[in-house]
Amino acid sequence: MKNKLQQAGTSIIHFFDKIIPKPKQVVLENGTIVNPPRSASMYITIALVIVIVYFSKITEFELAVIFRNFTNIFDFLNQILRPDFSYYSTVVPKVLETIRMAFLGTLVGALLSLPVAFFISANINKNAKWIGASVKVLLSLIRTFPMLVYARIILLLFIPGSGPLVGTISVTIFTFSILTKMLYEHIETIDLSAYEAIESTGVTKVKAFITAVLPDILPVYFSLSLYSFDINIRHSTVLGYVGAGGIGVILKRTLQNREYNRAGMILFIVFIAILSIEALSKYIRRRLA
Amino acid sequence: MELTVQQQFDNAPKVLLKRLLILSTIFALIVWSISGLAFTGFNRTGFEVVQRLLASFIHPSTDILFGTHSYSVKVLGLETIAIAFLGTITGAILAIPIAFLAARNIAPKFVNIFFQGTITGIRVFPIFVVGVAVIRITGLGPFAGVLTMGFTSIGMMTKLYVEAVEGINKNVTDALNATGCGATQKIRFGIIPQLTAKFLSTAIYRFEINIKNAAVLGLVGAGGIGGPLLWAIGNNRFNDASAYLIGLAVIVLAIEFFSNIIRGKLS
Repeated sequence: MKNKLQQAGTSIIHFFDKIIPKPKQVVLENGTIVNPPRSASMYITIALVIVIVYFSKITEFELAVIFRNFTNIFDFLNQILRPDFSYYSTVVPKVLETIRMAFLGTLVGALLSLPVAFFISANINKNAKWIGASVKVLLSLIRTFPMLVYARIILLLFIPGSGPLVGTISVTIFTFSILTKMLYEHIETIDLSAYEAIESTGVTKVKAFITAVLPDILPVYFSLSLYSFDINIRHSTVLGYVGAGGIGVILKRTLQNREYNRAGMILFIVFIAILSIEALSKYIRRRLA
Repeated sequence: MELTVQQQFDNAPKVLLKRLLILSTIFALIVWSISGLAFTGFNRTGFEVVQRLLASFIHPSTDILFGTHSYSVKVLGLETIAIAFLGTITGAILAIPIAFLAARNIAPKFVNIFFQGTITGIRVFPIFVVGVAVIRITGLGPFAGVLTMGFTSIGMMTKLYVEAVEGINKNVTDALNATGCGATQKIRFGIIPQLTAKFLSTAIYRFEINIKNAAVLGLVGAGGIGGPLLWAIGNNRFNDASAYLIGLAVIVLAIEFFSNIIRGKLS
């Protein structure tokens, strides 16, 4: 069995040798002949081309369609780039709702993530490593699903009308899962000699953590929280699509009713909100650094 | 003047007022946020439903998990990977010229300000708005997904590309200049080797994100595993939903695993 596989392998290599030119032999001054190794990029390129062609077939990829129907988008763009400014009285409260959801979700998620990250960091909790490892596996399982899926499931728990609450909970779960990971990865890289010194005086681990490690990681913690707040603002514009509150609810409605002027107004205000929050968070993060 | 410990201690900046101000601002924001949450009550059947969903993970629909029909995890999962893969490549290629034009050390100031603005503009469009626009060109189906992914990937990828371009070491091109290399040689041996690793690892990282975005795309009918998954949850077909969820988790974890290995080797 193994021999046959090897044979197949060598015959494939011989096949490639025939169609791809070998790198030139180099003769050194002292007469030694050197065969430079064939670069792997050749095989990678071939594999990539095969994958791209196969995937293009699956996805019905056809460039001609773009050129043929490109004018269809102008009508859409034309409307969406001329926002209906009278719609702002509906948009502004919904944008504020989105910001509230993202803010509260980020805050709760960030508060939950700090103690969990502390307990599962491999360099702090040496005694029960399997607990830390299993929590880490659980966290990466949570991270595999998009926020939208959580919103869709949590929505089942509530009577219709609790959209913003569902959105907040989804944001919390998402923030918790990514922030805990980033935090424990950071904690695992820091120097723990101060922590060990304080621990050796006989105080509890938590107290040693608060006095020795917390001041060290606090700026990073705030900065990571602000970073996930930025991400959450963007993500929570989508949450409304399944009914979990925020701007997505009216964005979906306007898109479905083909009121693109109004959708344009929504995007305009979201644009301003995201820009100002990003500028603010950038400013705060620079102060923290 | 003699400095004593006590004096130095008294001279320390007074941060109490500042801290109070920050804390009260945060507290006000919390109150404001909570006031916006309407709690209408728990759905009486809701917990039962979620329990059934969790229980269905023990016996997911084997037909969907292992079958090869058009609604199986195999077909839809492959379609999702294909959408994310081609979308990432499209975005990666489109982002290259924009990144050079938006880099401060390459383009003149007014050009890079214009393109920086374009990037921010692109990043604001939520994925399903782009999806709705693209569907007008391509019609429903996975091709729409590829183009949507391509467009929405540009923002982040350009941002990271720009960092790489702005970090180009000019000494290398100067050295090549000194040996008498032409412009094409300088680009081939001086600039491209400095950029490939960063560009590739950005593309692989974005591929990871795009796989997860697939669940959003399904909502507008642009293909992938997301649409069938959310419909299954909505229609109480939990055995199907858990099969899709397991499939999605396996795909995401596998890709994360390989992406970490490759990116580790690149850096």
